[in-house]
Amino acid sequence: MIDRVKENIGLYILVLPALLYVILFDYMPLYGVLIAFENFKPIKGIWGSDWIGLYHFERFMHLDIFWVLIKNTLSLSVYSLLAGFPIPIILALALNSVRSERFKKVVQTVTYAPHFISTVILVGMLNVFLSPRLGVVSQLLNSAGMMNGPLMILTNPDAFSHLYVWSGIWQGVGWGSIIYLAALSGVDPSLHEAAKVDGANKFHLAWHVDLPSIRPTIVTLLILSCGGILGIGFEKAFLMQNSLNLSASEVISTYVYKSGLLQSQYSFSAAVGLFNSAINLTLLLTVNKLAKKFGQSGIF
Amino acid sequence: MRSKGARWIAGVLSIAIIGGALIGCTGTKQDEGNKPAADSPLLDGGITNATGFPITKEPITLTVGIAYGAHMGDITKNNIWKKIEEKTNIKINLKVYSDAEKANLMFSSRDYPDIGFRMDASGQAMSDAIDAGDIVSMDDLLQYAPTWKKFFETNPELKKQAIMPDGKLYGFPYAVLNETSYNLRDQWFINQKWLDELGLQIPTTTEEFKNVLMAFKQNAGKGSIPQNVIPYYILYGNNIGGQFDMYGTFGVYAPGSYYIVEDGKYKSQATNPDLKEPIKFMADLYKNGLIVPEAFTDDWGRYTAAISSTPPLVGSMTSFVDQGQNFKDGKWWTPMAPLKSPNGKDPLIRRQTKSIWPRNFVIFKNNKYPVASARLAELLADPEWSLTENFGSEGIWWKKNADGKYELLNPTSEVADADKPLSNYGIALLDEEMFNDKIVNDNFTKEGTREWAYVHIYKKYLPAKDLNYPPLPSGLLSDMEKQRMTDLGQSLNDYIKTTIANWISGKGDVDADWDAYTKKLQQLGLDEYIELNQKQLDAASKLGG
Repeated sequence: MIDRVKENIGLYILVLPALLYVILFDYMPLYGVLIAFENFKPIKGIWGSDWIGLYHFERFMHLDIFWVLIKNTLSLSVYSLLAGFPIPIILALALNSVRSERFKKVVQTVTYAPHFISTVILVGMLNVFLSPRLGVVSQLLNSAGMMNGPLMILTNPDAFSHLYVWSGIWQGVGWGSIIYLAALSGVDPSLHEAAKVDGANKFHLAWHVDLPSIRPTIVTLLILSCGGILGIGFEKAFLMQNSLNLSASEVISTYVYKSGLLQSQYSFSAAVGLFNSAINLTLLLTVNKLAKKFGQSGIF
Repeated sequence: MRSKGARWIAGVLSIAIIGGALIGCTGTKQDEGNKPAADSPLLDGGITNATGFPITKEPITLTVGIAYGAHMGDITKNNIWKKIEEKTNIKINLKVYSDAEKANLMFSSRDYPDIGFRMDASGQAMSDAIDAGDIVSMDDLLQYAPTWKKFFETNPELKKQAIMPDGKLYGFPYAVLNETSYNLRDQWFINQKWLDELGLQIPTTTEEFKNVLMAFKQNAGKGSIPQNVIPYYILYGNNIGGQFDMYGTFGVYAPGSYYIVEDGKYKSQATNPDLKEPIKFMADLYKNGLIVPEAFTDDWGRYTAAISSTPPLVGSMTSFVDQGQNFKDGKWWTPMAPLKSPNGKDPLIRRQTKSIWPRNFVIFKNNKYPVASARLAELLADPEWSLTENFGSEGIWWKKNADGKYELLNPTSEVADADKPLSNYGIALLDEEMFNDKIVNDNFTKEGTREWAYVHIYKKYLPAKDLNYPPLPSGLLSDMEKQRMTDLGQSLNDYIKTTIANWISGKGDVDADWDAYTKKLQQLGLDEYIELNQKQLDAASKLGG
């Protein structure tokens, strides 16, 4: 063991900063999770606050809104995953099959661009475009005679998840496809040539050669995204909320912000965060196991 | 640190001894007895003078924390800080918290400034800091701030608002007791120019109001009424500019939430069946396009942009401040009385609670110069300083007349950040006497101003009793009770807000759904919520004796 370390000492030194980073910033602060089981008071500190066990977890689960929160959070993230996961793959496969380099570059740049818009701006754009009476969309539909009266999409709780998910896809699809494009560039060109000799067209190439080659990448990313399923972003849901769509737009993180952080209830917020993480970890492990069972390599 | 602390204690002790000795000597040594007891070289370790200016013998720096949003301008540029330094030898080093989270974080990390002005931290954060002894109690310091001492002695009702559950005071207040300001929440405006163009009168009943709005809508694009007119604009659910004055016009008082205090009893208006009528009226306005869907989607920024647009987009709205006083092409807005409704009940306009901001100047325990800080608070309570703090720079916002009275001015051009008021972000002491006898305000005689409207229109529509929930210190309930109250309040308010929004926007029918709605509120724990609030109210009424 020690001999092997000595032998590869250069590599160990190389990995040391990253290791230190993880220990310092990811493992050391973990003890702070204790406040989820305490009635935390800043004056008494993390070690000195009163221990109250699972009180905050029970409190969270007994909220009337608990199941609404779970339902909204889950349905938003599952929808995001189902709709948002395959589209970057399709885009990457399509881009990979494009022969004109110039066209490919243009499409890539255009699809990446929205990634650099911040969420606040994105929601601002949504609000401006879809504003009930004065928004561009409302005006266009009205002048085209396809609609009469205000466009009620922002206030409709049923439309909230579609707006949320598809604006997210619009923003993220180009960025999400980069990793698949990278994986596709590693596909052996001889496989393509061999398939072409056998008479495969572009569609066949993508389906039978490209897709199987990037399958490990897809599975890894899928497992990772399943691990974030309850961690639906706070910012966007919060910004898109209004009093008419609240029944669909109140998710765990926005609720925690309003009743936890703004009221200095750090213990409660930590408890809900821990609850989230526990479920996410379980999901991640389950999907990982399933992937292995079906003959794919998992993430560990 | 320790030696400074010891010196401080020694200072306090020696004051006590000297003071005691002087009391013993009164009568015999009259001349010495007249000297202030605290004329000791040891205040704040010898730095601070007991009386006179400058406050400190040599320049010191105090860090002052203040919550101030970036959109309101650069508060560090305000002239007042320079003025303070020149007069007192105290250099103010401002630490600006741009939002509530930053202030909360400061409290939870206990990284305190020397003095906290308005910080917008949660009540919980403030009471935790007080429990921890991180904020200095005023008990020993009030002697250096005689004006404030007198203020608390002569205003027991206001002192009650400031007292913490342990019976002590922990800060100096922003106390601007201007009747026209605190007694009236929003004024109700109607677009006078449009009325004139259409040859219409100011509406006095809900029926007339609807007809006027209809006329605004039907004449969109004609005269000065724009194509995309918003006949009646509310920012639904908001205390300012929200729908609450429409409830009042039907005689149902809801001060900005759905809870009131009647004869000491906490009461919910959300389950008051009289609420059905105004909701139906608003649903009718909505159906006719007189309330627009933006009422539910706009945020504060877009709302203020729309109501302050030039030329106006809006036919009628409610707002605290006068709108468009300075428009070049004449006055657009006229305040109007709340409307008579078909149910025959007396219409009401909302009032605010007569209140102070009790802890807009707190001294943290790491402050090495508590006496100098208290003396600074005393200086800031001076009438002329208070005028500058509350209204803005002398010569721009107010001037002193030959008869010794203070005349308020209306600046006509854009005011620089340096001359803006601190208003309720700092402290000031302007009591009712000051407003009645000393401050000359032209606006009372100028038709259409808030002051004029208060006297001539709104005064008689204010509810007779003070029904608003009084400001209470945090810490009257146990932590568990408080958390329970937060949880219940959150789910109740969300449900009320969404349900009424649906009724107004035509989803569901208030008559048919009312029973299910009240039942659901019970289910969500309305009774328990009321009980907890009642308990808090009762505990508060026992405070301060």
